[in-house]
Amino acid sequence: MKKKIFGIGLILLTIGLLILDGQYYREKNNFEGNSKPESISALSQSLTSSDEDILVLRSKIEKKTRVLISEAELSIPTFEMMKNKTTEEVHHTPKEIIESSRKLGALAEHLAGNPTLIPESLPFYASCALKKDALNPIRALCTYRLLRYKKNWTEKTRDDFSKIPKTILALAKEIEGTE
Amino acid sequence: MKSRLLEVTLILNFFSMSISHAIEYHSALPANQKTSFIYDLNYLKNSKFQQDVYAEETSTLYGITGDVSGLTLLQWLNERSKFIVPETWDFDNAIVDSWPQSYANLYPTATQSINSIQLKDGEPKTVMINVGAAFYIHGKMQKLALKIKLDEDKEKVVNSPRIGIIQVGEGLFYEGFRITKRIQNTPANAISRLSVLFHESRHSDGNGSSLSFKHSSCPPRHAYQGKPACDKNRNGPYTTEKTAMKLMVRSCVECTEAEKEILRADILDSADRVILTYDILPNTSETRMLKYEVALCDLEGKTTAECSALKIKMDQLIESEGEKIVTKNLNTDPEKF
Repeated sequence: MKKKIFGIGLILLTIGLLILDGQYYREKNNFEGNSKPESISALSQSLTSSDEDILVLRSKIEKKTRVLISEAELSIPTFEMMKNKTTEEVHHTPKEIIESSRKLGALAEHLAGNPTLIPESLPFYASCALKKDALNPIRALCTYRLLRYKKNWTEKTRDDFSKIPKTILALAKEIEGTE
Repeated sequence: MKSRLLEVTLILNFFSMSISHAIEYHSALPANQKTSFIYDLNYLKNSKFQQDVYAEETSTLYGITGDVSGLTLLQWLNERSKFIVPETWDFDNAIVDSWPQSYANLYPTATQSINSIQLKDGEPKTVMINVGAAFYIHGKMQKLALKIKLDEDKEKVVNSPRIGIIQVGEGLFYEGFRITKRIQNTPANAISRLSVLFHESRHSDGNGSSLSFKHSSCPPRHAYQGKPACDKNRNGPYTTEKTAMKLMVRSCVECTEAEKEILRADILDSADRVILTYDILPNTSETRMLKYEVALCDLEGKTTAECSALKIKMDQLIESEGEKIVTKNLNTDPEKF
């Protein structure tokens, strides 16, 4: 009897926590203006419908990953963009860096919810880290991501990583420990 | 025993409140800006940091003895940023009195507008300026003591760069610069704004050649090449800013991964401006002449192409024959008369 009550209690607690969790994400995403959170594992678990539905959703999330990567890629600021800036404009972090890191942040958050898609992002992060005309802080941020996703590396990533200049690697070290 | 504990708690609370309220605000500071300031300072005050290698790095840089906490960092800020004035504050007519004054140490050769930011296309204006340090340098250059009017019934003699008058503008709160865009007061936005305050506060330090920790020109091949947006030392405003930000980002449990990524880019941008080594030209008659030619190029009526060619020649010479200088910490003790 005691076990039964404990079991029911546990189920009710789990349901309660799931409701609260859902509410939290709904509110957070509403204020950030995002669409509802998408994570392959969460969606797969919550679905009771057919495998086909899951595949459709999976492809939707994969498409979103590609969109986020492409947006991040397009946002990378270059040295050229800083040439005509005034002293005042570069005194604090220029808005091009803030906007680019906003895109990189959206991608990082999406990947945190969908870790199976991390391998898909590695070629982008490597090309960003190696992009010679890109600003150092953004190259270092991409390098930091590569280091965080080290367990997903392929031979190609390893090879790309070895080509990242020492100055960028040293800069990326500055944000170690900010996880 | 209980009442004794209560008494101690009340005393401690009063002590921490008085610290957070040590910064004063001008009567015309917009209410939303004041609210954000109070939010940010309270956020800092309540921050808890792990006492690890990062905290150690911070205590060394900030000269904090003992544990690094929200309170000790707040105390550090309070010693350097004491009065917040709005963007509308009449900078030009602020001096109400002056008299001859002798100053110790070197005399600065030029003033610079310390840390303002003006944006284009109707975007806001000032972010933050350490006007107190700028007034001190101005007085020192003229060998005058300055008395300035801060508010209706408030006047102060600028007797040290630590006078701590900080001007803030809409730029600090501008949505485009925020970490969390739609809400002004969030932990991530507080971290971003506080980091600017830490940066400006460092400008209240220094004496002689280190006075106010003025920025240096960024070196060749830097994104901000030639602009005074770098530090040729290891404890200047950009180091101060990145170190505080790193500590706060590490302890921010409310920040999302996306918000942290933007703050990380901010840390990296500051770190990228700290010059660790630089090359100088060997001191020969040929190099002295070249330096002269580069410096006076515009005045001598040469074309832009000719001037850039000279500049490139000098950069190449620095690269091939330059002597490497390793930067170091500067003296942070403030001047006072």
